[in-house]
Amino acid sequence: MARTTYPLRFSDIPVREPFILVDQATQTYFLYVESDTPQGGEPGSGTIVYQSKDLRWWSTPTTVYRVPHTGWADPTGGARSPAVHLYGGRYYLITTQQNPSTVIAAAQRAPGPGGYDGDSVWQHQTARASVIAVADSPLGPFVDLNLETPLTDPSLMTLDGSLHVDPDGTPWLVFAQDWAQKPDAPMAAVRLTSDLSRAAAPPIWLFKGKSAPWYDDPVTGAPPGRSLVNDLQGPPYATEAPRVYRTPGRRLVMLWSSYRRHFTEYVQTQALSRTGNIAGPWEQLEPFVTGNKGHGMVFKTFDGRLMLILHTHHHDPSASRAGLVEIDLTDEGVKVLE
Amino acid sequence: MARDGTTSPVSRRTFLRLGGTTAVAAATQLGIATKARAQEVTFPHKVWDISGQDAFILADEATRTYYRYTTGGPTVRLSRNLVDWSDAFPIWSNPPEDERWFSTAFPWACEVHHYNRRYYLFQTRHNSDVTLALSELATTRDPFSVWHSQWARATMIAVADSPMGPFVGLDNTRPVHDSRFMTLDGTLVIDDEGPWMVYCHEWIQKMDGTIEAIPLTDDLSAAAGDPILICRGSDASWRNRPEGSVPAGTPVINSDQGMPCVTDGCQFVRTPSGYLLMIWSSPGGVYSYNEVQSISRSGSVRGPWEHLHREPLIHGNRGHGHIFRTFEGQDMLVVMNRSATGGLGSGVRSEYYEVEITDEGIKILRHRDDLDGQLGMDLTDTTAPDLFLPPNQVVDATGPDGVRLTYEAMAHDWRDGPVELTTSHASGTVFPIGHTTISFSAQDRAGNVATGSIDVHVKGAAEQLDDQVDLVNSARPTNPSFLQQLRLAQAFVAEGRNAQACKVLSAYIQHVRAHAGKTFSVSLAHDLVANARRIIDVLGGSA
Repeated sequence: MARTTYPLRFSDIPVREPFILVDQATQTYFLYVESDTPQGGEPGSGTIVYQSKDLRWWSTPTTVYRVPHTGWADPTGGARSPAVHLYGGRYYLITTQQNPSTVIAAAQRAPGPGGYDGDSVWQHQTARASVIAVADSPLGPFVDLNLETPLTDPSLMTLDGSLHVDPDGTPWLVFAQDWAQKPDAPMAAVRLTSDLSRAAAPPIWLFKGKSAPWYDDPVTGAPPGRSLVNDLQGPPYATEAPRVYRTPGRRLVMLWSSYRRHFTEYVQTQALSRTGNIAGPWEQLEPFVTGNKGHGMVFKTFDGRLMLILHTHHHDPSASRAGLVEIDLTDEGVKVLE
Repeated sequence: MARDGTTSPVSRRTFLRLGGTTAVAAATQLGIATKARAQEVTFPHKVWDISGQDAFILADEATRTYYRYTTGGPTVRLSRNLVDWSDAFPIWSNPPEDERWFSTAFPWACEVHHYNRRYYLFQTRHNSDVTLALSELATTRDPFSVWHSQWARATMIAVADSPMGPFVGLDNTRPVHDSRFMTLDGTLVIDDEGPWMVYCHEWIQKMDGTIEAIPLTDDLSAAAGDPILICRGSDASWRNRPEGSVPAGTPVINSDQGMPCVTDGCQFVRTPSGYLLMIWSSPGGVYSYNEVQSISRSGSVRGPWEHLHREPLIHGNRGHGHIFRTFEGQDMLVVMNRSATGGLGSGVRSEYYEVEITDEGIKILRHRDDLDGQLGMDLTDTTAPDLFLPPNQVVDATGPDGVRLTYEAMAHDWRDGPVELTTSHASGTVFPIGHTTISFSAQDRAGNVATGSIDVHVKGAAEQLDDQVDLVNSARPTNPSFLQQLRLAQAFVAEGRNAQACKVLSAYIQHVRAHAGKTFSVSLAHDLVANARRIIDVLGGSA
């Protein structure tokens, strides 16, 4: 096997929805991102990984996962928002997959003027949910644990799942519900079986997108250049990218992302569970990285610093790169270090 | 401007300039109700025989007469006792078509306020021929796609010298606010800044309906400034408690759109300390139509508004209420039950509840079935407090006695608010090595008790050494000596030879340090050393 070389600078790598696994065995950082992964001349979606020893220089990517042709998901439909966790000695890759031809609810045009229908379906809803695959190495190949169904009920449009483990070892998938299905989108968690292959109980509700702190703010809660009181339809209250971390005092901090300024600005925000329980109650804190950056996660470097990695240029995917920010993880939430 | 001049029902002012005359005389003198003029007003209609759609009751102390306005008309009914009501007398006639923005479609939520010695009628009017936006078909994901078609709707204000009219529109040509807003259920509120119209902004336009306030000129004829946001339908308390946010038997995470978030029927009262309290309706969840409450402790319409995280004070397809003071001095809430059944009348009917207005919100004291003839809402509290507990804890002992563990837990009652949580082991207690159960309980005012418990597992030296082995293995060291040292320490611990175990661990610490940044990353070596030191402390030794 060829020796790994590290010819790429971080700024060379186009990155959306980054996730880093810190592997102590090889003392290597693994950066997972979604990718097109053609297979036998056919188009396909999957996950690739870049490797680094120092976060500055990176390897060329290696394909570690391909969306199978035999499952519920469209193999070209994407494998978004990868999250990789070491659990019980194995590596688990969680991705968001979809199938646009599996319609959950078709969009409808509401009656009117003069008539209305509160049950009228606002957005077209199609299959979308988290899928889990396992491997014995961070380099894969990752193999699906459950091809028949995703980790959440097929009637739900969910996304951006990641793993949270209670102090006693109980595993949970923490996930967001799609605003296209639920305009005030909940953040939720579902307890998994010990092999992580399926849900072990119905999901629980953590909080909803509207509980973000900016919606009543005269500037960040309003459309650009407009007042908080206006004739525009309200924006959906999105929830995205939940990633949960334990603080020194055994509270939980959840990083998550959403949109301010009437769905025009993507931000990195956070919430705090003082009980340390995934069930909460969750107290929302102010967003701490703004300006169309977000979808972040936290890792500890080999020299012991805590880092946040997130993506930039949210509305311009081709320009998006990974941003790295040194942080402190306190009992009052994540603090960005200057 | 007197703070208690907020809404006419709680005003202590002289009611009519015709003070002391009867309602009959008032009607005759003003000459608007032909039926009333011709004969003495009679009260042939029982409250349970007439629709209670959005009923609003103006209690006139001077004539000791209740005036009742509803959706429809606009008309007024009179009563002396809240039970027996007169015919509905017209109080308004539409201006000619070319002089008004609204159609002849019947008004919603009529209400009359006594303000500056005159009477002001607030009525929601519509014009479905004036289209504001058209529904779009969102076949691709689009957060800006227009859900519903929208048309002209707003509250218009009219004035009269009597609660029986005739009311004349202050401005029939345009709504008070931006004519592109589709709104309803406007009401009058007075604070230190002056008069405001507070209204609901249609879910049809906003999807998540809002409650907004616009300052008015002193004669209420026009806006005196820009509107402000008070809250949204999504702020309703029950939408933030998962058990309440869905119909009974539905999973809390489900595929239902969860929209619209309706806002309806905002009404205001002053609390004893002058706080401004708003009740409003936002149907849905397990409560169907219901009444929630929000409070502005500054006393100002501008807030800040706190949305009380409590069970809706009225629910079961009931809401759009109004609070007034009876001639006996009792604060009374009239609500519409949208599906009354089993009582003396069925359908949309009024129900009366005696209430207490406190600085912490409105309390329902009792249902007045003697007045409304309905079965009313069951006021029994059977919901135990919600407990918010830590998960089962697994912690490393830091000394031979175990570990001092702090934790956070709380209890909140859906009816009463925060309640005391009692526990077998307070936060900050030293927990011994092994397993301990912490039990919790909380009780509400009605005596409902909630209990819970968590397990605390404090790991001693042996278990911590097992974890240390796993952590070393995570680095897959080719050099076996680290694991050999840990195995030796484990053997000494198993034999109770703690001093020897500590000696081995001290050597291990030096060994790991020498390999920091090599076999182990600096960060992992740091953790291994910290853990080994802690194990030595647990064994009662010194490094």
